[in-house]
Amino acid sequence: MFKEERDYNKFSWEDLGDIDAGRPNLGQSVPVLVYRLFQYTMRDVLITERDVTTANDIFIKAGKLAGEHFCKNVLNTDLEFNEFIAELQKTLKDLKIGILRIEKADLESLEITLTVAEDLDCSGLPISEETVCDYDEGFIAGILNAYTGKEFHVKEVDCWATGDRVCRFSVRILQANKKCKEMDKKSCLTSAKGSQIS
Amino acid sequence: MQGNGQKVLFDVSERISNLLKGKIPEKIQVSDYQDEAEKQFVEIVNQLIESSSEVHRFIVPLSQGELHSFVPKRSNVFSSPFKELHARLLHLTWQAERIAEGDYTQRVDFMGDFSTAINSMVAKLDEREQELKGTNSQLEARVRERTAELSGEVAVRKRAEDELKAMNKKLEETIRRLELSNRELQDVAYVAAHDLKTPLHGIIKLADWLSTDYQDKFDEQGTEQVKMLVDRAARMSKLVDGVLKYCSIRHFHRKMERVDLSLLLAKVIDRIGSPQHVKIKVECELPVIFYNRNNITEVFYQLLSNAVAHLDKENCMVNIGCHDQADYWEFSVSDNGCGIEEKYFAKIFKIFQTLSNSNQCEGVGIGLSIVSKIVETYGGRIWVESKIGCGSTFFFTIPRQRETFLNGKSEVVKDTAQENLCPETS
Repeated sequence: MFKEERDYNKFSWEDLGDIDAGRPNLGQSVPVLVYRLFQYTMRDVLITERDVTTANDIFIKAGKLAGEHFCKNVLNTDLEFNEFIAELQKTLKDLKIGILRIEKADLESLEITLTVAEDLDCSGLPISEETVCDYDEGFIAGILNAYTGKEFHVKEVDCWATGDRVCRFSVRILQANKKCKEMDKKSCLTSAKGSQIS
Repeated sequence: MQGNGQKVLFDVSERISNLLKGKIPEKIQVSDYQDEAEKQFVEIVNQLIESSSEVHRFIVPLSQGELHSFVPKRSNVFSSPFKELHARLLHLTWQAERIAEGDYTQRVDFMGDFSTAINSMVAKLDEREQELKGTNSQLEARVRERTAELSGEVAVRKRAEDELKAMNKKLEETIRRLELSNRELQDVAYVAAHDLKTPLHGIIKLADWLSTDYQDKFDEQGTEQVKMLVDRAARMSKLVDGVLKYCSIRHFHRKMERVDLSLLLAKVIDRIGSPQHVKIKVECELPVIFYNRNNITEVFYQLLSNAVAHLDKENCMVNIGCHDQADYWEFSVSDNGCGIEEKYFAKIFKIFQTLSNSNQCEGVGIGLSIVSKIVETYGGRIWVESKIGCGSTFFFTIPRQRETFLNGKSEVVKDTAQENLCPETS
């Protein structure tokens, strides 16, 4: 099921398996370094086997797929936007993914600025001149896509790796629905939730 | 050091000294140096100056609460703690806005004392809102209960009101019928009295002829009886005239006009023709009023006639008074005659009620009832004050209406009596 040739995504939440049953002694958690070891070795190989652009693209797409399933299976998409954000913030903290903080959220234009502190992907990395949280960009876009039914473009503008202490992401909608624009922010989000992924 | 080591050290130490004093120095001119190592050293120092300058430009407005001003470049590592502070302040601001909107699901994570203070504040607000919602629910429940109770009370009250309305309607109908019946009765009385006039007139004439043409034929008893016949017929004529006058009050011509009461009273007094020993005096200046002349004449004529008829002293006095009571006039006619017992105060205004023996007095018991009817028709009031042996005072009021004239000045006053006036039928 994991290894057949195909040109479409087949991932489902059940593919993650029954961790409690499978790890009765070691449990749910692993050190961050294990996660990073996996991610950065994967990135290294992808860059060498393919190229940087392809590697980045794969991380973004994988993050988006993960975000969509994460939203669908872990979060409550029936909540109003602010409540949804509060739940997302708490869930990311509980799962030790990072500390989410919204700086700005314009619900009419669907433009959001948010930061993730102590980010799982990058906090503590050596400083370079590169943002490295491509997977996070996809992950955030996937969550918002699953919640609103809209496609979002997420760009990391500040990163621990570039010398900042928090990762800052700029979010904007890719295809602004004309009808949606005319609606007020609440009904806009409510209607968007109705067309989310199943 | 191959270049101008002294100069570079001087320039750099001066810049660093300024930076340490919190000042932003000017950059060092790289072109002043030829040596590559010195150039590289100066460029690094210039980067330090540039970074410090950016941090300064960023942190000063931030310290003043300006969250949307200049932000340093991403490559400025010096600014990263301040940018983190900036990010947290932006987040706190966003959280505060949500809380202000009543969203108590927000929590501030890992921001030390800020988190503790804000999270406990939000929790308290949430708790209080829940309490308020609980109280509100209780109040709404009470309002619903009370509304239900009130609905019951309102229904009962409405039933009572409906019953009252029905009773009022019945009462109004009864009053209407009574008024109709009363009017019919008055019409019958008026017609009967009117029709009696002609035969009565004939009887009076015949009795008069009998007493004159056959006076030598009657013995003493016959003469006495014929005289009695003439007197009784005359009295009956007065009664019929009185009834006609009483019944025709509503038939009176209702032409309203300016009536100068001074002139009117003079004519009335003249018409009464009182004896020498009777002095009729007007005590005050009388107004000019806007009323039906015949009605007002009748009122004063009857009151003065009544006063004169009951005078029993050598020096008899009848006084006429008038008081302006703002909304109405109050007139009085007083005499020093025999007076009336209090128990008769109401009775004397009823028709055919006279306190004198019909043989002793000319009165037929209708004059005061005519006065009463006229005054009440205009919305006024009539009453008497009296003491046996000392005399009586009759008071009556009439509303000031339309226009009254006093001392040549005119003033506009309300017309309250118009509604009470009967339509002209004569």
